[in-house]
Amino acid sequence: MEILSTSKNRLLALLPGEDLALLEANLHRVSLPFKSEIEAPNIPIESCYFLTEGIASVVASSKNGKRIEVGLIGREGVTGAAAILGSVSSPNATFMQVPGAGFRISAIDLRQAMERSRPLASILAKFVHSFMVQNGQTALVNGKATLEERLARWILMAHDRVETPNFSITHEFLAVMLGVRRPGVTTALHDLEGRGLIRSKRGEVIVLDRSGIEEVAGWSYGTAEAEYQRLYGRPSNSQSGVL
Amino acid sequence: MARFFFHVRDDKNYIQDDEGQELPDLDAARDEATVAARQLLSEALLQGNGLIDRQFEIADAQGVICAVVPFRHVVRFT
Repeated sequence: MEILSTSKNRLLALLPGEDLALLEANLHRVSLPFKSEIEAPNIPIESCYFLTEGIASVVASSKNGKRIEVGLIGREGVTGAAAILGSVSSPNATFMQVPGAGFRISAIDLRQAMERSRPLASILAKFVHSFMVQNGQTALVNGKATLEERLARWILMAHDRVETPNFSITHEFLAVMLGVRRPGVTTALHDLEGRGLIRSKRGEVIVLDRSGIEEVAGWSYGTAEAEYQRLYGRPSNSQSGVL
Repeated sequence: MARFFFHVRDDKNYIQDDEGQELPDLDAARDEATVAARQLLSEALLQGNGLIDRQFEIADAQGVICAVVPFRHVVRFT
């Protein structure tokens, strides 16, 4: 039963049985509602979360209140890259922007398990690398892509991490992800909707035409996803996305 | 703080904002609409697209339109 549900996280699913057994006593199944705080800036990271559903957003911020999303994590990964690398805290914030669930483990227990299990240490190190590639792509896109390309990329990245064609997302968070003021998000979504690619309802986006959205995203989407696939292979059980 | 809704109107469409956002007052809502309009216009400008003449219609929590910010008013040529 336990093995069945941990396998919904791709990193845990890749662990050999004996290495997973090292972790299992310290993994606690948790539900993660909308806006749950996973990490706060410069506060010691207590726990890492292997997500099985939902999406966590990593957000960089400035002293004068500017914020932009630098990465997102779903069932393909784990939160707490800083803790995994041995840092106590990070200036970035992490919170759930699409509600979900996962397995919580204390950062101390995870570090101890990494010292005892080479496969675990290797799987997590590769994930942190793939996440840094994603962060790099996000920097590239925020500097060089249009708002429409960035929105299309973000919808594809969210779609990769959910089981269904629809997911809940507020315009408030989309504005943080895209680095624009919130009233502009309404217009950007409307433009994609007008081309029959999505439907945008109150607090929800429904993907209607994934390949059409990929066309809009163009060069801005795919590099980080290809790197993840190179490291871990293609999922056998993914319904919608590529992760 | 009060909740404001930023509906968008152009000659073809009316886009309803059904989420809204919390802001200190109407002046802050006008500022928010002004910056959002400038961001949307600058995107279109950089791509060499024609600028669509839209406007934000700012409504309060009761649905009453309390300010209109036409996109053309947020651009200044000197």
